[in-house]
Amino acid sequence: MSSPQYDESALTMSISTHTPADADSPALSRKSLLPAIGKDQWVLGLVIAAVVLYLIITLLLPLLSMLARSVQDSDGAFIGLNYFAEYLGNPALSQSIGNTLKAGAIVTTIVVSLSFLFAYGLTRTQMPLKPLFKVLGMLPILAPSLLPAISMIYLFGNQGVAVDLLFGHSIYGLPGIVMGLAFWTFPHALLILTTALSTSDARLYEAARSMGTSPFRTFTTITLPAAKFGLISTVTVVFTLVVTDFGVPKVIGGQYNVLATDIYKQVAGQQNFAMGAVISVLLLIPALLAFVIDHRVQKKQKELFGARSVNFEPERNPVKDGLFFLLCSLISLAILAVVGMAIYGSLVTFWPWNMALSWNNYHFEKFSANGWEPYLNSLEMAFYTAIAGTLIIFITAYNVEKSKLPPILKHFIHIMAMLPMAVPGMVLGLGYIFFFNQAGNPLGILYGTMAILVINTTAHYFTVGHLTALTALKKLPAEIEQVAASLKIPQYKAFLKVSLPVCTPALLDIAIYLFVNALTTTSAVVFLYSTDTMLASVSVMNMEDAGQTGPAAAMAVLILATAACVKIGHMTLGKLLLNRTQKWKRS
Amino acid sequence: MQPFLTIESLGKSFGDFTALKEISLSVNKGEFICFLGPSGCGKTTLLRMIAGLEACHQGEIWQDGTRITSLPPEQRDFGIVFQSYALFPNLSVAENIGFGLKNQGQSKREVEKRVNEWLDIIGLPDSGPKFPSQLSGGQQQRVALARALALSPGLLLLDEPLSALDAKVRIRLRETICKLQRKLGITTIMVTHDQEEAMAMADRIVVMNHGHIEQTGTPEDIYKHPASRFVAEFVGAMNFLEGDTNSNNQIQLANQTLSLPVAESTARKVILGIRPEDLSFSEGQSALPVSVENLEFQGSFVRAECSPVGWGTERLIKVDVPIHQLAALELEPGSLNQLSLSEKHIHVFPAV
Repeated sequence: MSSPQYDESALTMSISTHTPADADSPALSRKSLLPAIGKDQWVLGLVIAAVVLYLIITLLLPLLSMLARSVQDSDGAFIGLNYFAEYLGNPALSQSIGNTLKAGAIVTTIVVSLSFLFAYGLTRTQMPLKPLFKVLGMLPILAPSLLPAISMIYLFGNQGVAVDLLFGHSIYGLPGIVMGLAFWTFPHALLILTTALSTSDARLYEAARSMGTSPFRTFTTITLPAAKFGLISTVTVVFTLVVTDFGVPKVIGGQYNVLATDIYKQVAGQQNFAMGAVISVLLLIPALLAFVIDHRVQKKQKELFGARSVNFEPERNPVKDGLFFLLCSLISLAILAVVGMAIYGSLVTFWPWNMALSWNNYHFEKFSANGWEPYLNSLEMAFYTAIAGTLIIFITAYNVEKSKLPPILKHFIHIMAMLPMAVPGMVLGLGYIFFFNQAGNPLGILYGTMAILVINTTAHYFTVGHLTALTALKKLPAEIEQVAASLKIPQYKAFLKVSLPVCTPALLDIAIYLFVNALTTTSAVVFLYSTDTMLASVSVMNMEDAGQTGPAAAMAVLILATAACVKIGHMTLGKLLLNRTQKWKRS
Repeated sequence: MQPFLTIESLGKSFGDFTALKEISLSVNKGEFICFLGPSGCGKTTLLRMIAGLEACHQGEIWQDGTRITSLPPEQRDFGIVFQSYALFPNLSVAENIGFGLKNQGQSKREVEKRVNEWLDIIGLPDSGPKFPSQLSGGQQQRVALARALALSPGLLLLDEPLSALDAKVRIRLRETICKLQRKLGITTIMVTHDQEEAMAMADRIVVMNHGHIEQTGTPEDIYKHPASRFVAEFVGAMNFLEGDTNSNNQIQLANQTLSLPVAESTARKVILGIRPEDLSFSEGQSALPVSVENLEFQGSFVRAECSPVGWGTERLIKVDVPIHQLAALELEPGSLNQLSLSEKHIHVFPAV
């Protein structure tokens, strides 16, 4: 039975007993090379083709256009690295490289140390008011980076309330950039480090105690190594955010030029697109480097934590708790001061001559022809991005995780999904100009529309959404679709009845994340808006540029307030929705 | 009788790696078949090809007179149970079992009736409204079994359904599956790497290794007449001793000539396989001196590990001594004994 081909009698038997008449040698030799393809597979194939095409158009081609432009002259002829040589040979331009790295190094050092202490306080002590500190520590994530910059002007500018604290130094330049970005990047660092510190294994601490290890030694041998990867990750994330940010140096950078503002100056100021492309390439290098380091670290981290870890419960320790309470209070107060200053500034009628409080600055129509329109545009853009972006991101992640794609295709989609993390907004925005504005590109009709802003913002914030969706999908049993097929249930039905409801919390997270970022982003969209699609964050920048600091502050505060409302809505309304769809989790 | 399932010269490769080659097999209606083999032998791939979850690169599959080789899974007729249960986590137990029925357009009442029947059959009559996460692993797997059978498929595929469960639960569920299978008379194929499980459950076992079938036969057949050294080693315990062939084409072990049929091999060496329970300690003409190294208590028998004295291999020889014979033997580590082997229990394999 097992090997009839070696047994003559079995072979003759098999011919006479074969069920189907046409199953002898001709049929045997015919190879069915086609895999089993059903209706579901066709639908899936079309969706995958659409996803790949989408990623190529919205990410790969714009970036390639940008790279191509950096080695072409204005007529499109290849000139090699001439522009790079020109850029590096001009000290006035190339000093920005040093400036950018310096700002990055300083902010990273400050933010990583402070956020580590803050996160330690939240996760490893029994200090009071922890929930409040958590909220305050995360607050800056809801603000556009322009907000702390404007606050810095109110606090330490030439007419600032606390200018004396600078002892004659100017806030414009490196000090302003450092303070503004330290505020703005703090929650990003806090988020990673809180996670890193809370995943520690209590059993290790029990073992250390049973051996009589000193607290300091416990810290250096258990706590730090466990948080090592989180720390490295934080360093790369903060550094990338700082070197690629455009809002803060634009407002408060003064004569201190950095790469991100240089791109803007070259493109918006001097219409020198090629030089803009060259600087973009230079800005991509540190960002890509940080991305690669982070990627390596993430891979290692997965191997570190076991599923059997026991949660760590910190013990009361009056001295330690008090110390961290004090420290967290100070940091929280600083954050509140920055936010409060922006709110206060926005309410002062005309700084510094008329300090009476009024809603004057919120009458945007008095200051700009666009009036409230930018705010409404931003809401619209954020709404569309949240809906369309979540859909696209989830479908992409679903295909990466659930379909049996050829490895090359899977890899391609994954890299495309991870890449946006490493691409600074300015660079992506410039790439969009080059690609969509190209003569003969039929997609050029998108240029200047709301659609391109939505597409660009989705591409810009793709990575975090993608990772969130992947994590959620990985929690689903891998064979759900196969079981559905065996039960003759169409894939779309299984998707709607099972995968989608199970992933609802993740979808909501992604949508809120996209909404808040679409509201606050400045960098990429600054190249892509038209007079009809002016956005709130861009109008903050423009009004500030025109010396209208008050209305600029008002608009920035409005963005922050809106983002905060959305977040609060997420936490309350979202909970109701989750109670309905996630009943199965409670056991 | 026509076979219910016929597999002909099935082959599959991933790049340079050949996952399956020249697999041929027929399964009769109502038969319980086990695909047994070490991990990576291709047994799961074969099962997935029968389900249509993997594409066939070569060969044909026929089920119930229909060529299904290139049909997608939803157009085939099978129910499947995975090691991971793969229950729909957000649907209740009743909804899990009834999902397929409901999708077929059966009335609500009809579905409810069938679901309740199934809940009774799997012994979880009150668990309908519960969610899978509220059940134990064994209970979840029973729900998965009911779900797979609810549409009354012609073929039941089980992909290591018991491997994730505790030993006790595993044996209970093993009985449940067998009883249900016999009651429904459903043709069943189960993949497992556990030879004990395969022997206890299957009508016939298909032993696989490196993408091909080593042997197909009843559990007894496979155990008593292993077709290859691999099967002998994988199913049950087996001692392997090196033997020589002399000029008269007779097999010699430790200078004793054995009257065993010799395979048509020109090699001078052969491998002799003897199961531990087929060896015994007793004086006799062909007895071989050994020294007992180690005794392992196993409940109904004691496994003695012996090293040959002055002959044969360096490998230890395992001997199973029934517990009721132990007292008479005075075995202890270091003691010298005589080992006797009966020729009818010796399996001869060509040396590699």
